[in-house]
Amino acid sequence: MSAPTMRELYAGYFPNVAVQDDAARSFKFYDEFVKDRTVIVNFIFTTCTGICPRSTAKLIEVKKQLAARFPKDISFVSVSVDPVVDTPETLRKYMARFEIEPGKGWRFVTGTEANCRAIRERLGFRSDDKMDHTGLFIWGNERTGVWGMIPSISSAEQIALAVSGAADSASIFPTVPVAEANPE
Amino acid sequence: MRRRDLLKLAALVPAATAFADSGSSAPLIPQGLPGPTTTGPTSPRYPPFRNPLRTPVIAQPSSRSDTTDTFTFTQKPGLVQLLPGPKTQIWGYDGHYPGPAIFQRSRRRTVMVHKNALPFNTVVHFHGGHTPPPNDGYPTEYILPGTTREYDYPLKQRGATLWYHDHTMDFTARNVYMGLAGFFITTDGQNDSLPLPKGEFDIPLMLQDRIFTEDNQFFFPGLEHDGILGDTLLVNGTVQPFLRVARRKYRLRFLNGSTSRTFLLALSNGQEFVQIGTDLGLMPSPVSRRELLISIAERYEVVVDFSRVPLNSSVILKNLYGDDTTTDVMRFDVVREAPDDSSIPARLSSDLIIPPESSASVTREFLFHRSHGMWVINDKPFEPRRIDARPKLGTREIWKLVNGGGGWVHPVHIHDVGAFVLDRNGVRRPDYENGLKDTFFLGPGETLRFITQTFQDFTGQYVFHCHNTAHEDTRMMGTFEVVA
Repeated sequence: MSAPTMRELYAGYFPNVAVQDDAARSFKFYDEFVKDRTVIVNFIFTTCTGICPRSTAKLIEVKKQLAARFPKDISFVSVSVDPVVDTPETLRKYMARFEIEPGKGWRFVTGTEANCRAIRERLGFRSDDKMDHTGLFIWGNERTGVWGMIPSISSAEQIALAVSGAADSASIFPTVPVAEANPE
Repeated sequence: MRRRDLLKLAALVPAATAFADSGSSAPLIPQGLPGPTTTGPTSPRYPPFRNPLRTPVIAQPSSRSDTTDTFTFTQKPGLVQLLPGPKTQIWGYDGHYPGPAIFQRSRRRTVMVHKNALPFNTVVHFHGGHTPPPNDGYPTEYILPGTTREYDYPLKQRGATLWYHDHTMDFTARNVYMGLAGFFITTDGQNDSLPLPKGEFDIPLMLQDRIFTEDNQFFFPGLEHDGILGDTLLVNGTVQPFLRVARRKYRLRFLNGSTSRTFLLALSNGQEFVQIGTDLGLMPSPVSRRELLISIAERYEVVVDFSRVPLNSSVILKNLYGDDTTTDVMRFDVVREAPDDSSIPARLSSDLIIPPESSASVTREFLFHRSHGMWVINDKPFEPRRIDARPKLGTREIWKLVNGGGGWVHPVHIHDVGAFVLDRNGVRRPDYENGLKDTFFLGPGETLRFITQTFQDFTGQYVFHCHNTAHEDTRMMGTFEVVA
């Protein structure tokens, strides 16, 4: 018997729901932002005055570290937890506030309330408290099945190490021959 | 346990919200997910008690010398028949799930050689071991793929039900879930001299829960940072097994090897467990309990007397915190008579002396809580090699663990040193905690104090952490350094 591939085992795990990016282009979430990619994802809302700005600032630092030390193709994705307020235009303003250049490997995502909720629930965030979603970064490599989460208050170096490790990862479903263990 | 507390704990599953009349307005205990199958498939379901309990493979030394036994393992994938139909792919020590069980004499130096034939970094921690730091399994001291690492254990510690398991930073939950865990049981003269049940009547039981795909593969919902609850219970890698027993006493060694699930164990006939041991071995004297709470990574040893059960009848080991698929853990079928010269002495051990509080040189406080979805200790996430405490060699410490609320459970594990619970919320420890422990159930709203044994023999860095490994992997962990 061959081992199941990551795709087979986790087929449909990431919602492939309709979303919009900060340029108001429409995509399916999984196809555009997760499939075949190494990503780091966080959740924000643009009117947040608490941890979101700190989380965004940390990601800026992480992006710099990655560019300098681990130049790899890693996508940054920030998903709004307040999509009604956070229109593509509002997201662009938020990016401008942080001097995040559109189209340079970091995209902001909005959509219907239901679709944004589906995304964050599948990524482990079920609370109705918006603030509860903003502290963790999710990182992983869809090709290899390596996924992890790290607090946004971790050092930029630790976060960069984690996500670059995912970029370098081999499939967690080994291709080595599977031994027959525990014969019965 | 009082029914109201039970309901609060049981409320981790949606069904329990039906018990709205429990009178509790406190937050319910979301120790894991709102429901075990929210993010994954529903496991194929079969009637319970169809599978005979699997005995873990017993590890044989690859070499022996006058002083040392060496065990050599390859960490690799394996296939195991867990459900009818396709076999389940696991990652195992020598491809076994659970890992081969090591049985060893205390004070016999033991070396474990691990070759990593998996395509990612791993780390091995000897849980409950008192070992020099390079051998303890610090979460970033990786065994790189294709390489081998030796772990050297002096085993200068009392006999106990210990275990070894993966401890890789960020990936412990996944790696243990996939199978990287095994018993490491040590025995000593104290154990030998007692008339407790021995040999075939002494049975280790590793309790775990898993989610299976419709093709019988383990499904690991890796993005569940709050906790992962499987909808299928396994004992020693056997789905809801049965065990044929004789009408006599048995020593059962429970280990909760789950990711996030706390069990409340009870026997279906209302019979008592006679608890004889905690995480780190025999208690001074036995304690009878009808219900036994065992949180993640804890071990409890009990004696169950099946002579009180009629021949050709059965007793079910229940999980009172379970829902419909996770209530029946296993079944004991009493099928034969057997002589029983075992007994439970009133005095089990004489080497445990709980040190007076005044002998502690330092009291430290650690707040385990959730902040904006992050699991932190004293507001900090784990950063490798950041030192959060520096206990001095030759001293003891009191650690005060505070649960930051929200109804969450944190089983807190301290490496290197054993400790005694002093009190919970200011109330003296219950009798069943009159033993040496390395993992402490920190319930909702609880403040717990423990006093360590003397930090001795080794200086260097060890970790302490929440053993809900979903919390641990999102960095609910710290480092302490024992200094001279």
